[in-house]
Amino acid sequence: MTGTHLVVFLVDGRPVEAREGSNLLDALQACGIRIPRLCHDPRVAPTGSCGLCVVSRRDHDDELVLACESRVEAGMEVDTSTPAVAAARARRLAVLLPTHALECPTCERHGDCRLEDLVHLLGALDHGPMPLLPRPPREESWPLIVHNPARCVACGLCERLCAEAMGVGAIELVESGSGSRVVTVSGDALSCEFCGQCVDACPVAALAARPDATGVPAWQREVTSTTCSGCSCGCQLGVESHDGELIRVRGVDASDPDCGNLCVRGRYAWDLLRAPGRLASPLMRRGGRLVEATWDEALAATAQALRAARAQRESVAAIGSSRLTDEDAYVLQRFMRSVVGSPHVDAGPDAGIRALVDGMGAAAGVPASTVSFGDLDAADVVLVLRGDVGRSHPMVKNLFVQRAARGRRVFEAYATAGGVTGRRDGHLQVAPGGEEALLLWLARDALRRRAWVPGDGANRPGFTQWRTALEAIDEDELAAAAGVAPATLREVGDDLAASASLAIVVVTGRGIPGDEAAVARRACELLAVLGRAGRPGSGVLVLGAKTNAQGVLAAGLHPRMLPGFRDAAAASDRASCALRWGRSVAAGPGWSHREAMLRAAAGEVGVLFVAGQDPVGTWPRGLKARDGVEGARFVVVLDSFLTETARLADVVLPVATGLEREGDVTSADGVRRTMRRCVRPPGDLPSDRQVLVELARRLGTRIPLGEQLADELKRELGNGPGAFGGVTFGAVEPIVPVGSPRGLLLDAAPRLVHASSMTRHSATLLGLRPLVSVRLSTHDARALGLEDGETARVVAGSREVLRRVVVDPAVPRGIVVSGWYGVGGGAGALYVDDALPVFVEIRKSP
Amino acid sequence: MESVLLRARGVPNSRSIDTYLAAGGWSGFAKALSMTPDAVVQETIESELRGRGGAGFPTGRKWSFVPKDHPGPRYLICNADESEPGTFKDREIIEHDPHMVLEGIAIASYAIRSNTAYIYIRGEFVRWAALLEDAIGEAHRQGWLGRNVKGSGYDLDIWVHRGAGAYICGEETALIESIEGKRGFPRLKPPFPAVVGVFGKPTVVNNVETLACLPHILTKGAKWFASIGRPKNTGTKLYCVSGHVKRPGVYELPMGVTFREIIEGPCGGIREGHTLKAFFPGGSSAPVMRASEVDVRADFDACAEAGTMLGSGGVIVLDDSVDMVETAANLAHFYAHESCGQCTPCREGSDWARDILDRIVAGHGRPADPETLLRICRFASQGMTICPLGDAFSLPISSIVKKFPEEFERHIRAASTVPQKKLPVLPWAGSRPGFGS
Repeated sequence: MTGTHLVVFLVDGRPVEAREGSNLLDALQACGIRIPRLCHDPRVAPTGSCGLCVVSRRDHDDELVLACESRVEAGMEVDTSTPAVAAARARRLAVLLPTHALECPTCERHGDCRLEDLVHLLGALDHGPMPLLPRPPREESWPLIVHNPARCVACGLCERLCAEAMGVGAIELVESGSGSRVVTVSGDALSCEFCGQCVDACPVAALAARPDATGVPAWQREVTSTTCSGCSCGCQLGVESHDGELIRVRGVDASDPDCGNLCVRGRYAWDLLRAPGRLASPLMRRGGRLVEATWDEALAATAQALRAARAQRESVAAIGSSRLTDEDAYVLQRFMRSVVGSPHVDAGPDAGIRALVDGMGAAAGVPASTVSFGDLDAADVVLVLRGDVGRSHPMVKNLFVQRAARGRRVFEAYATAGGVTGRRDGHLQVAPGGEEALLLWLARDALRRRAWVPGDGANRPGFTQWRTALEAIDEDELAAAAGVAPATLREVGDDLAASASLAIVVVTGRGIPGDEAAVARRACELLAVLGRAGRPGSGVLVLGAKTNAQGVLAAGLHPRMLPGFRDAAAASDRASCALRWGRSVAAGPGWSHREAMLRAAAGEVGVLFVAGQDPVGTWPRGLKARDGVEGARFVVVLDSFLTETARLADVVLPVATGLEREGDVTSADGVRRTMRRCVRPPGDLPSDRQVLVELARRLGTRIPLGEQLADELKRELGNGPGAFGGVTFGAVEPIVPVGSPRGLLLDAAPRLVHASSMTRHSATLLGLRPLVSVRLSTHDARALGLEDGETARVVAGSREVLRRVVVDPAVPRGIVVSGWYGVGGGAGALYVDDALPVFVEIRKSP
Repeated sequence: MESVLLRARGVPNSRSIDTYLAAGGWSGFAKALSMTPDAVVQETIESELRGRGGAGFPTGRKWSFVPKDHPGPRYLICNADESEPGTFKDREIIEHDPHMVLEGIAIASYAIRSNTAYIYIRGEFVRWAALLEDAIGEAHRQGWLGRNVKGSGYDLDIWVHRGAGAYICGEETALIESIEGKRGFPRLKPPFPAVVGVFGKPTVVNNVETLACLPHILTKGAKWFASIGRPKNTGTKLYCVSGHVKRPGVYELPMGVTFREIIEGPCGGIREGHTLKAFFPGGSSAPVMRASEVDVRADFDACAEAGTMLGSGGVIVLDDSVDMVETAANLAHFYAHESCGQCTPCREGSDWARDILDRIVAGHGRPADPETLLRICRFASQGMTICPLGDAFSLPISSIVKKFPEEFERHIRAASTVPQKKLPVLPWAGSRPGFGS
C-alpha cells in the first residue's frame, strides 16, 4: 500500500524524495527522470509487459528489476543508466521491434511515437537482423477509430485504460502469444464512449483516430494547453496546431482535474470551429435581408441604435450566457450597467445558475458549490441527483469509476436513462422530478435517527417551520413522489447515517425534469440535519451544463448581482463600482431573461443584446423567446454561428469560440482555469469583450482590455463567493406527485456525444450520433409496432417533431431519448417549461 | 520399497471411499483435526516436504506465509492443471486414489484455516474431473467434508473448477485469474498469492502430488517421511518416464535415485538397438541432459547442481534416432503456442525462436542462427518476465543449442538459402504473423 509519508532514496547517487510504497516508475517520472516505457501509465495497474523500464538496484548487488513492478523504499539505491541497464533495455527493444510494421516515414505518429523515440534512444537497430512480417489487415469498420494490428506491440495499455480508468471495457486483447491482438469485446464494430483514451495512450499508432491523420508531422506542431469549454468540468486540453489550424486534441498528463482522461466531446468536437455554418464576417439587415457588412458598418449601426434608444428613453436589455469567459461576462455587464446605463443583464435560463443562485445561494448563503472534485473521490458516500454524469459530465464519471475500484459506493438517483457505461449499481430510478421528494424523505429519516443537539442546526433560520411542514407530509407519500420503494430508501438512509462525509452532486442541464434549485436547497438541508453541513469533505457540488456558470455569476452577469456577488439593488455597492468604473452604475435589480423577453414582446425594449445564446432556437417555449426577439426594436446577436435568433437579428457580430478564446473560466469545483488561444478564428474574429469594448469606445467610454482588465477583474472578484455560512431552511410545499404518466417520458437531457447546441456543428460527432433519432427500449418499440430505422412522430400535446426510431436495449422501459437540440428541430421544441417532465406519444409516420 | 502414493494401483475398486477407509484413509485428516492448525504446519515443515509442481518450494513454509491475523476467508487451491509435456503423475493419482487427494486438500485447508478449497483441473481431464466430483460426493455423505466435519467444528467445501486448455493456467497466479473468470494472465508478484490470492484473499496453491503426500505425513509422522530420500529432498517421488524406454510409465521411487536407476531399473532400459542420447529430467521446461549425465541424482538439489531441474519429474528419454534440432523446434512450437502474450520477451522470443528453428529444419539455416537463438533465449530468461514461462521455453532450447552444437552445424552446413523476395512485405495469408525469411 502507498504510504503517506515521504522517504528519501538514491537515484544514480542523487537523493530523491517520493511517497513510500509508491510506484517506482511513477516516482522517477515525477522527478523528471526519463525511464523508457511502453506499457505503463499511472492511471492503471502495472503489468510489466514491455520490460523496458529496467533499472539496477545498487543496494541489491546490482540486480536488474522493472521499475514499474517496484515500490519506493526508504534508502533504496537505484541506477537508471548503467551499461547493464542500457544493454537489457536495448535487447528487450530488439525483440519487440520486429513485430512492429516500420512504416515510420508515412505513419501519422512519425515524430510522436514512443517506440520510435526508444529506438533512437537505445539504438536497438544495432541488435541483429530484422525479420520481415506479413501484414494483418487494418480494422477499418469501426467508427472514428482505426486499428492497425501490424503496428501493435501488444502492450495492453488500451485494454487496461478502457476497463480500469474509464469503466467501459469495450476492447480487449485476445489470443495468446504473438497472435495477441486487440478486438472489441462485443465482437461487433466498436461501440463505446469514444473517449479516445486508447488512441491517446497507444505508444505506437496501432490505434488512431481518423480525424487525427493530418499529414503535419509532430515536430511542426505547436502544443498549447487550454481549458475545455464542453461542460463545467474544466478538463485540460493539449491542443496541437499548425499555423493556427487545429491538428488534434490530446489529454494533458496528470492534469487537474481530469488526469488526462478526456471525453468524446472534449477530444473530437473541435472540427466545429471550421464547420460550414461558421460566421466569418458581420451581418446586417438591409432591405429585410441579412447581408454581409464590414465591422465598421455593423458596429456603427449598433452604436447608432443604442444612441437612438437612449434618446427615445427606450430600455436596453442584454442576455449573455454561462458559456462566456469571466472577462467577457464582466465586460458585458459593465458595458450594460455603466455605458448603456441599463441594469437588465442576465445569463439566460441556465439551470446551473438557477441551482447556484436560487438553491445554494438561498440555502447555504453562497451561490457556489461547497465541495470540490477531490472531495468526490474522498467522501464516504456520494449521492448524485438528477442525471447520469456519464452522459453530461464524463470526467466526474471517471472519478466514480476510480471510487468503485476501491469499493466505495455512489448512489445515483435520476429519472432519465443511464449512459453507455451502464453502471447500474447504486442507481435509483426515481420518478421524473422526484429527486426533491427523495431528499425530503432522507431528511425526515435523518431527523428520526438523530438525537437533536441544540446549536447543531436546530437553531438555523426556518428550521422549526421546515420541520413542522415536513413532518406533516406522509412518509409513504414522499416515497411515492420519489418513485422509490421505502425499503430501498431506508438502505440509502442507513449508509448516509453511517458515513462520516457526504458529497451531494446536483447535475444540471436542459431536459432534466425537476427544479434544480429546489434539489440543491434540499441537499443543503439534508446535510444540515445529518450534521454534515460545512464539515470538510461534505457539501453540495452543482455541475453546471455550460462552462462557466460559476464564473459569469462572479463577474456580475446576473440581474441582482454586481461583480464579486455584490448587491445590484444596494446603492453603496453600486457606488463603489461607479467609483472604479468612472461612470454611474444603473440601479438594479434588472430584468431577468424571462422578464426581458416579455417586455420585448410587449414592445418595451429598444435594443436587445444576445451573446452566446440562441433563445429562439433552444429555449423552452414558455419563455416566449421568439415573441421577444421579434418584438424588440433592434436586436444585436454576438455568436459564432447563424443561430435561429441571429436570423431574426438586425446586426450579427461573429466572435471567436471554443479553442480560439482566451480568458478565465471557473469550473464547477470553483477553481479558475485558463483558456488560451490555440486555433486562429476564421477571419481573425474578435472575442465578445473586444466587440463590446469597441462599442463602448464608439459611445465615448473606455473599458480596459488585456492585462489591465485581468487586474481589474481580479480586484472586482475579491475573495470569491465567500465562506459557507450555515444552512437556511426553506419552505416545504405539499408534495404533488407527478400524475400517472400519459405516454412515455421524454429524456432530452444532455447526452454523451451531444450535450449542448454546439456539438451540432461537429461533423465528427454527428458521424457518431446523427441527432435525428428517438431511442426507445425494445419493449416499447415492440408495443408500439415500431421498427428500427423508420421515421416516427414524437407528439406532446399540440406539438410534434419527426425523428428516426432507434431501438436501443440500453434504454429503460417507459423512456424515450431524444436530444433537446436536434438537426431539423430538436425535442426541446416539445417543452413549455424545462422543469416539467414531458410525456410523449410516438406515432407511426403516415 | 513400499508403495505410498501409488499403493492403490492394481487394487480392485480402489476409488471407492470404503476401499480407501479400509486402507487407513482419512485418518490423517482425523489426526490433523485433533491437532492445532499450527501444529499441522509444523509437522509438514519437519517432514521437509517440497512442492511437487516443479519449483520444489518447501510446502510448510509456503503455508506459513498466509497472514495469521487475516480477518476474511482464505482459500486453498489444488493445482491439477497438469499440462507440462511429459508429465502424467497427477492424473495417475486421481485415477487410482482420488480420496488421497481430497484428504490432502482437507489437511492443507485445515492447516491454513481455509473453509473453501478449489481443485483447478486441466480442461481435457474430463474423466478425472468426474472422478473427483464423485469422490467429493462420497466424502460429503460420509461426513469428511461439509459443515462441522466429524464433530470437530471445522467446515470445508471442495469445488472442482475445470480449466479451458491453457498451459499458462498451471502457473499459480494465472490459475487464480482463471478461477476468477478472467483471462489466464499471470500476475505481478509481489503480492504473492499467500497474501493476495483468489478474489483478493490469502490463497495457497499446491500440486496434487504434494497434497497426496500429506495424509501419509500425518499418519506415519514427519520423521518417517524425512527418512525417505536424502536430506532436504525427502519422501517418495513419482517419475513419469516417456520416450524411448522399454517400459514407459509412472514409477514411485524414493527421492535421490539416479536417472540411470530409473531408466535401467523399472523402465527396462533403452529400446533394443539404440543408445541413450539425451533426456529431459523434469518435463520439457527443464534444460536437457546428455547421456553422459545419466548418473545425476533425480532430486531437487542434485538436478540444480547439474544445471537443470527436477521440475515435475517428467523424464523424457531420447535415443540416438532423435534429431535434436527437430526436438528444439518441437518444443518451440509448444511454447510459442502457449505463451500468454502478456509480456514481450516471452511472447516475441518464443515466436522468433520457433521461426528460426523451423527454418533450420526446413533446410534454410544460417551460420548466425545458433547465436541468435541463444540471444533470444537470454532475453527471455533474465527473471524479468512476469512468470516463469520465459524460462520454461528459453532454458531447454538454449541448453539444446549449447549441448548439441554439432547437430546445428550439420543442418546449417547442408542448408540452402531462402530465395529472396522482391517485395519486403509479404501478403497477409490469414495466419499469425511470423518471422518468415
